[in-house]
Amino acid sequence: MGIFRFSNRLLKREKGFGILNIIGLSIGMSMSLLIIWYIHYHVTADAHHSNAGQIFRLVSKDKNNGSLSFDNPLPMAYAIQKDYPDEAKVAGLFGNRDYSIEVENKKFQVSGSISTSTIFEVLGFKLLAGGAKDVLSEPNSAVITQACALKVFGNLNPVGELLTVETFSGNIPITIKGVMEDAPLNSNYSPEVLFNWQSMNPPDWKEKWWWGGNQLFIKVGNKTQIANLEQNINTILERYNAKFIKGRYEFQLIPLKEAHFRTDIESPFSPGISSHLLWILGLVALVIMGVASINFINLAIGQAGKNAKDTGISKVLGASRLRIGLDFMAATFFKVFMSLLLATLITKLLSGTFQQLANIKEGSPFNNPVIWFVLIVMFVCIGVFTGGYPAIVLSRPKPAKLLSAKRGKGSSGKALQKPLIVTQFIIVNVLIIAVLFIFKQISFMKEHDLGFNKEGLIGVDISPLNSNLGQLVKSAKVLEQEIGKYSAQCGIVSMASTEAIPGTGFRNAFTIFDPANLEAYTVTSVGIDENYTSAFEIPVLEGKAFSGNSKATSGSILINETLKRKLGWDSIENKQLAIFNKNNQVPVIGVLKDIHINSLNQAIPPMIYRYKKNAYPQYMVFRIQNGHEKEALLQIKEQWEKLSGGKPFEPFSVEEKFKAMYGNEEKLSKIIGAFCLVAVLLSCFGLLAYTTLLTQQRTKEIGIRKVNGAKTGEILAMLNKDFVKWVAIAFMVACPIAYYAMNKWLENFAYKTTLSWWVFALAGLLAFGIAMLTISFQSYKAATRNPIESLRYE
Amino acid sequence: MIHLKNIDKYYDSKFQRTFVLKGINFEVNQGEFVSVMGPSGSGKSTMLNIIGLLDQPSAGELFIFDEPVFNLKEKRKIEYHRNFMGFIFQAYHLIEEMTVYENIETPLIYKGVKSKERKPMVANLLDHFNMVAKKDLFPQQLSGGQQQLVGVARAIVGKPKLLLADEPTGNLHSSQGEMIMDVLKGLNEEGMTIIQVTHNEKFAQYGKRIIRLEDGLIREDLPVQN
Repeated sequence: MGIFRFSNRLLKREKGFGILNIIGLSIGMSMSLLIIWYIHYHVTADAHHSNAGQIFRLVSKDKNNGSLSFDNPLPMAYAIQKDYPDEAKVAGLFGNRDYSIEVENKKFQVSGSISTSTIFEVLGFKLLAGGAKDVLSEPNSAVITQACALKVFGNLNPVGELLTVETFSGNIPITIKGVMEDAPLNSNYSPEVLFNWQSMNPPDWKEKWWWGGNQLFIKVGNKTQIANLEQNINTILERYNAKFIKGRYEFQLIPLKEAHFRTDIESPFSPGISSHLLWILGLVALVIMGVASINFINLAIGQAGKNAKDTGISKVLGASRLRIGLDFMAATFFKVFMSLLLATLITKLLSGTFQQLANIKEGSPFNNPVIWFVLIVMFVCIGVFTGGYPAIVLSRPKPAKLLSAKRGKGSSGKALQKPLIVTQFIIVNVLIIAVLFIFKQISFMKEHDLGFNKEGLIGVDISPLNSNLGQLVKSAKVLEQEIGKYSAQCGIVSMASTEAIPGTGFRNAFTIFDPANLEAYTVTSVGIDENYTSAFEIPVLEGKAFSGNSKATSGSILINETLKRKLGWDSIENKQLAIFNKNNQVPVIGVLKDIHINSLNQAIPPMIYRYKKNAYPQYMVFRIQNGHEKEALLQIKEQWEKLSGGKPFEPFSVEEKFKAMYGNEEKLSKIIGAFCLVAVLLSCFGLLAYTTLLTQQRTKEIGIRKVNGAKTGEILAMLNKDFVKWVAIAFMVACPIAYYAMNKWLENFAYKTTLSWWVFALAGLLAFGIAMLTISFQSYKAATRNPIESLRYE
Repeated sequence: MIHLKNIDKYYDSKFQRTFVLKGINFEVNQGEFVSVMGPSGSGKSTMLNIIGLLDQPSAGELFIFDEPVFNLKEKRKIEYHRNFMGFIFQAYHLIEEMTVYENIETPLIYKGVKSKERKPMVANLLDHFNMVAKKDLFPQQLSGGQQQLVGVARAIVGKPKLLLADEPTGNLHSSQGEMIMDVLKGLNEEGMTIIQVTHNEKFAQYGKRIIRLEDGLIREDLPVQN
């Protein structure tokens, strides 16, 4: 008899439970697959570089505030290479951003880096065309990836082609000298174009120690030299007498493979991911898989009541135990195979959404051979595990027992089931609590008072106005004046130009000194004009804000509350601060209320506001009267178009920008939430299986009780009573676990929601409700069954 | 052919030992048709299970063709089940997911009979019992008597020497019961040794010998008088 016919009938006999079984397992499988995909994606992020084990990254530590960053001073790569040529091969990547390039009057945006020519030796990008190692050493040269070559030049070998690249110091002509292989999609360093170092950097780049943003990759021949090299690197700032930063930074070398998992190191280029998170996700995958498999087994044993008789008959008819076991295994493998098919389908359907949520650039999980390998391993392991255990248990009993009326009682494996069910309840409780708190934290962050009025603020990035810095200053001024003429009639209440808007990057970190005791502080600095405080509606707590372009204003600074607190000042009266060096003292004329410039993950930094009327303008911000957004934007756009020469006009809402900062947390929470939901669903399946088994075993008892006058409600209460007890126990165990876990998680945020008791209560209620609904589905069926039916054959 | 020597079967509880069978001695010769009778709980089914190697006696010896068969290994037991004996149950115990044909075929598959040879064997039986038209039906589509007929067919398809029937007519009304008993009688006349357990005095008379059990003891062992 064909195995498929057998299995088909098996499914039919199990009346939907077989299908439930398959669905449950396939959901578990596909969730685990997605998680494994995610983990694999991150674990192999930097593994493709040849000799990845020998490559290290340089990390700078700001001694003033202890922060770590992959950003290093511009001349650092040069200095290390010059002083220690034998110990290390050093490559620097600088200016990692999108560049506008022009080829034969067509404009393109490409991601690029300014790179030392050693990059090919160190990171091992594979060159497909063009010269060897020295390909980037010629002035005005560049190397392009295959994909980018195709996009820009329309062919795979554009060696010798010309392009023009826009920079802040004007347009620079570039010749393509080589083509390199595309980096894997999960690579952290995948610029489309690498530009020659000397041509793209200012002529005095060797002196510009205070220019950061240089990512260093160092390949060492012998790992034992690392400590030594690290020490040597730490002498460089002193020896080169590095302006402004001497004595402020300390350097460390960390393995490239580790870099991706160091979330404590600031890396604007390639945000890392915490290895803890990967471990947790791996654990979640394992839990989901485990729960799904255990439920699968429970369901199988739950069905065994029906199977037992057949097993008994088969034995009497002369079937060997091996044969019965194999039959069972075959049926299980069939079900696991069906689950696998369904799982690949589900994975395929979900992979797009998951990709977006999880920020995976890889096209599809099924392009990845590892995923296929995992699928096969899953098939074999789950098949053997879920088929083997019941096969052994079910083929064991003596046929006389299986055929007698007493069968089903004391069935093997039952002892295991109670703890398994309680464990599942605990997991469900913990997950529900966690999800509730994650969403509570996110809404807390979204609703939190930022310190300024975020509503009705429109920002415009004015840096595209002209790539030439001098012209930008002029254009900004003109734009401001022109818009100013019409502002009253189109609902613009106020406007300001500034270096940075809350919600965008505040890049300037300055060292300041308190002249009184010469203590150093690292502060975030932002250049603003006299309208900034009023446009953002930031309250002035002490002194006064900037007013007009007077001499008194331009030489003074404002500070924020946090800095005042750090300095330990009672008042700012007659106070001065020194910026950069101890002699450059400026008066402090006001204290502004603390505002959040970053995501609420981060504490408010100490800040200084310097008066920079149109000095380095990056943004303009407009406060627009409620209801006038349309006309105001139209007016701004009109003036923009007059000035910009066709550059796209891209205004943004400051409020939205802030919300977008929580995008990552929100995405992560959605992922975790989705997986939790799946785990809860799977647990429900398990519960259903267990209740089925239990009610089956008590069928006769229920029948007798009914014949003797028990009401449906009483039977229901009798069946559900045990579960209520278990849910209660599970809840009590889950609460401290969840409390601990959520406390740990909230440590990641500087501003956090409270762990309110009502969330725990709500979670408990939810878990209770879910469990009761699931259980009652079966127990109601059992309780309303006609007792004659259940007693007929006994 | 079958020899029970001092067979005991008991269950120990905390304070006392409860005997189901005590000192059972009897012999069944080839070609006999034995009916075992007795009230509920007298140990009839237990005895049948012991003879059928489905249950172990607590003490005593059992011989089949002068060969001792207690404490047999699983493998040897299966050999006996495959080649020596067939079973009929009160509740038929047909496999519900299988058709009539497949139910009858199953023991042959376990026995390792090739598919080509199985077909005529099953077909013969179906023909013999007038069930050819019903071969593709499932058990629940048949009447009780017909289901038991399938049970009988399944029990004898492997050409066993011994047929063990545990209340084969217990779930049937009398006319269907008679039909089954006629079939058994016919089989016996063809040379099959049969041991049946029954409550029904009339059906017991179909056999050649009646053993009456009471409280685990043989009270009476007499040939049937015609």
